[in-house]
Amino acid sequence: MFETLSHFALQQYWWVIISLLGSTLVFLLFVQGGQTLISSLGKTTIERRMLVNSLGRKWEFTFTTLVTFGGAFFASFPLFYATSFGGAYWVWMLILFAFIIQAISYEYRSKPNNFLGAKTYETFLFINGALGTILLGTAVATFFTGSEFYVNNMNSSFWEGSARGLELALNPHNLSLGFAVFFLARTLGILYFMNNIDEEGMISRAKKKLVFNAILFVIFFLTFIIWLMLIDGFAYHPETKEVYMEPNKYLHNFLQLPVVAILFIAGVLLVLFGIGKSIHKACSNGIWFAGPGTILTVFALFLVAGFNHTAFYPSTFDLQSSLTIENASSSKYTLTAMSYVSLMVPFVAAYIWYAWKSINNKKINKEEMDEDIHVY
Amino acid sequence: MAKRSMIIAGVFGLLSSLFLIYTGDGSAYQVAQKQPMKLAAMEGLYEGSEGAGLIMIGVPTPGKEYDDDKDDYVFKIEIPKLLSFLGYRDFNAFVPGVKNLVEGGYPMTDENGETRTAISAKEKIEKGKLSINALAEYKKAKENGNDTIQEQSLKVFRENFQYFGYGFLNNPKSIIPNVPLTFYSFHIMVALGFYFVLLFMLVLYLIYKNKLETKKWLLRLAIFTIPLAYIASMSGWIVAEVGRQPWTIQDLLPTVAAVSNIDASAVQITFWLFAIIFTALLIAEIKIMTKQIKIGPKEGGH
Repeated sequence: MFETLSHFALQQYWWVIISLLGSTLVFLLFVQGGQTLISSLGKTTIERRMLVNSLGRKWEFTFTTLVTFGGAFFASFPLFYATSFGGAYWVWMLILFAFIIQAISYEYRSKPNNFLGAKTYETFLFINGALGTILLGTAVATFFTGSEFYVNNMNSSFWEGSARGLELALNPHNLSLGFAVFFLARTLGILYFMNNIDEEGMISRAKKKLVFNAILFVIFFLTFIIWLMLIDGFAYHPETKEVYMEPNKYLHNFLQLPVVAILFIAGVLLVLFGIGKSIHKACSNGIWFAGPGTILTVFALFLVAGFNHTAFYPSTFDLQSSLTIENASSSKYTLTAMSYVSLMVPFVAAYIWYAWKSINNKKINKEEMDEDIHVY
Repeated sequence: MAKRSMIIAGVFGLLSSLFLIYTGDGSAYQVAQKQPMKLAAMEGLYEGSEGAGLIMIGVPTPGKEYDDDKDDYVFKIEIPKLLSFLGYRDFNAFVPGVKNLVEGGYPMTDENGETRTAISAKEKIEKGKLSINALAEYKKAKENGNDTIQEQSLKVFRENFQYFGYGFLNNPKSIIPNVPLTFYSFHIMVALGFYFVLLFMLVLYLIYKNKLETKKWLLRLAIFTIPLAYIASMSGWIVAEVGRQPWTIQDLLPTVAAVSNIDASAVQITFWLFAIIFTALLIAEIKIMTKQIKIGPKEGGH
């Protein structure tokens, strides 16, 4: 069935999958956001333990999605992978190290004789939460702001940025998305705690923090989006494939792809509704609105970055080296074979849903922390 | 409790060790077919022969170059003809050594199953360069819309494509990986693999005879065997990754062309970061484990 599709159709299909994985990842970063709140929300040992356990049952979901996102990007758009991972080396290395210290922290934190002490592992979780979200947000922002590299006619890419990707973190627009993701993750983390933990005192503390984090998220997010609607974007000619700057390109993309615009607006409204509901009423299901809302919003942003003849990984060093879903993808054969594998995605998603439900069928409370032998 | 877990460990260990020997044999066959240079390096074989033996214990001559007259080994104990059999399922098959692979001129079976004489690395490099240049010509001709040159260069490209990667190399010697490192890693891995089989069989036998508790030396030996499993595993990776040099993709993409263009200092810093973090985590892991062993098993826990 996939053989009959054109190469371009397969490239678009895979960009949709990448977008879906990327947006799911941003939603799941609530784990990272929650990790940055452990010491400020948890006033006692048992409270901190509840927070860690609440997140500890979910961190694998985020981690696996991150790895799948990277793996799918590698297989479907290898030239992006080679350019970005080999080029923006230090950014990706920092992200890697931030995630190495996460996994073990959950496993080691509460074990006796753990060498570095519980406090250190909580600090590791904080570092992962802060660096992971800010840097991933920064990296995604470069889809719109561009990086300095060039690609020669043998498809070898050369990074020309001065600091191996760290220079990208100095761009205020990249940072505004980085911080938007950071505060969104904290907001989602709080909504998740409100949904998952049964402990009056801590939840009312969380609610106070919700207002503050949500406002900062909205400020950074709006800063980025308004700027995005006003800038010149990286377009390419459908026939000649020549890359050129088009005024208000990303605004045009929304207008020319109305479905994407609707997804985007629906997503933003859902996020705001989930936050507002949780602030005004005593409810615990805000995450069920803000979570899917996050997925829709980020999904739409990814589509705007790569669809409608837009270069998704632009080069500001050499405009014609910019990567598009057409020039950075795998061969038709590879994409066809991978597309068959992608048919398993719904089954994986269903399994995640099932596992998630069975983990969450009852809220975390103090008693459980003492009884359960599986605690982190 | 401890005995029950030892039975499980013993059975599982024995079965997986035997399975590894079986898959290892499959890999050896694959390597002989697809990566003959890796096989030669694993065995320290410079001068190929028909009915080649498998080295059980040996010391390759230090400082040996592929084209000098030194013997391949300082000493060796080998099982006659076994290498030929493992690599080609034929006790008398010709196994090319490092020297043969560089200089060519030995009989080989090509991808169509026909026997022909292998060409030298020097010729392969020339053909590789033809192929790379043809690709560049093709791209240029495509840009200029010149159909004749496009067709011609595509033909040259296809004819020489199987040696494409050699075109990135300049010296025939650069197709040789680090022979001593590959040789020793391979032999350490294989020796440990057979040692594991013997150990597990002995442990299971003594449990069956109810005599294990009296053999203190064996229990100690079992503890000292834990790190050997990691050494065997690492040796295997060294054989796989050092032995494959200079190739990222055999014959098509050498590592010199595939590597990211980052500074050596960046790689060094990353290496030390990994070394420091993983050492700290290893210490934590061992401390936690030994503590848990002292605490002992909890009812119903795991």
